[in-house]
Amino acid sequence: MIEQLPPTRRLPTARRYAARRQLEELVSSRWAPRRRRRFILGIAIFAVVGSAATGITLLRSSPVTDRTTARCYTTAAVGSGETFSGTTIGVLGAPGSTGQVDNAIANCSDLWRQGFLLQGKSGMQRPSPNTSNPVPPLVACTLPSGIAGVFPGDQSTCTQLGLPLAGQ
Amino acid sequence: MEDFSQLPDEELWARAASHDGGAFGELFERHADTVYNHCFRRTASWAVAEDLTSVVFLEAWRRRRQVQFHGESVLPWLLAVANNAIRNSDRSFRRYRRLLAKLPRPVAIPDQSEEAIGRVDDERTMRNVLQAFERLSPQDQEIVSLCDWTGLGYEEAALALDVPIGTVRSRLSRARARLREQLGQTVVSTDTNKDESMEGES
Repeated sequence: MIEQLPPTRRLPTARRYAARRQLEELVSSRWAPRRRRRFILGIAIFAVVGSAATGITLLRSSPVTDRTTARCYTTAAVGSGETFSGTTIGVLGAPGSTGQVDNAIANCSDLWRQGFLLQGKSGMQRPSPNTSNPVPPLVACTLPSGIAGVFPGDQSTCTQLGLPLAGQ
Repeated sequence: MEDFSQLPDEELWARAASHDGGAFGELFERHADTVYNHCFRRTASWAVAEDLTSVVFLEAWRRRRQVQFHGESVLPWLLAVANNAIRNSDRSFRRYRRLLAKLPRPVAIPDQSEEAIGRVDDERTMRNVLQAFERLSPQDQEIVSLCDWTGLGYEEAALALDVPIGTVRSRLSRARARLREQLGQTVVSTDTNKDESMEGES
């Protein structure tokens, strides 16, 4: 029968060093690995949800079918019929040409910059010479008539107005 | 770098709880060998004892709000954590498998050094001891290993086992008698004098 226990031994040096270092790093970190993983998971979920929301928004876009005219709005309101805050821009080229409204946002931006459009004002304004005016963020939605409506705002503005984003 | 060697466990623990890694490193340095040998005696494997030692300190950090001190020493509580880790070793290893995988593995080389040969002999010896020891109830195993093998006093063992001191005395006395039966005439202890004197107190 065994009478003596084996002698005590020291934890091997390499293991002692590595284990101590690992513990020191763990303790120094204010975020436990599990909490860190949860945070990363949260970010991932946020990204996925964000991407999905973007995808849904894109799916909800609708092509502009009438490119002969477009509307530059000065408020985020559709108005009724021909009554709205802003102005209508027309075609520069031959009938059927899409020269001006293909990039409705760029053209409306120019009108804002040159001072022809002012927040909340209907129609074209008389700009002050040699001044550059602020251009608000603009978004193009497709109006029920199939033309593009360029509003001050972002993608959520189209949703709020019940309009699809203007598709390419 | 701050010198932690003069600070008591309780002070180191308080600093560690404030995310001072160096303070926890000092606690590890101070108690790792005791935990390591305790785990070896319960498992008869130096390799398993290495992993368990890491698990004990990782688990101690996870349960840091439940820490208890005996005087200024955290060792009895660490051994309680060790007993728990040994009892639930599968779950413990699963919980910390990623961290354990980053540590250097025990070297299983045909090493003919005295140390390596000694470790192999230790394991053989300990396996034989455990054959008799494991016939005891888990409670008896814990009390004998804490008091007789690792050298805790009654009060420290009471803290580690979360029982009154009187229970430690009576349980230890019974456990020793049972182990004596299992081993024939011999009581396995690191300190036979202490064994006799403690038995007298029970």
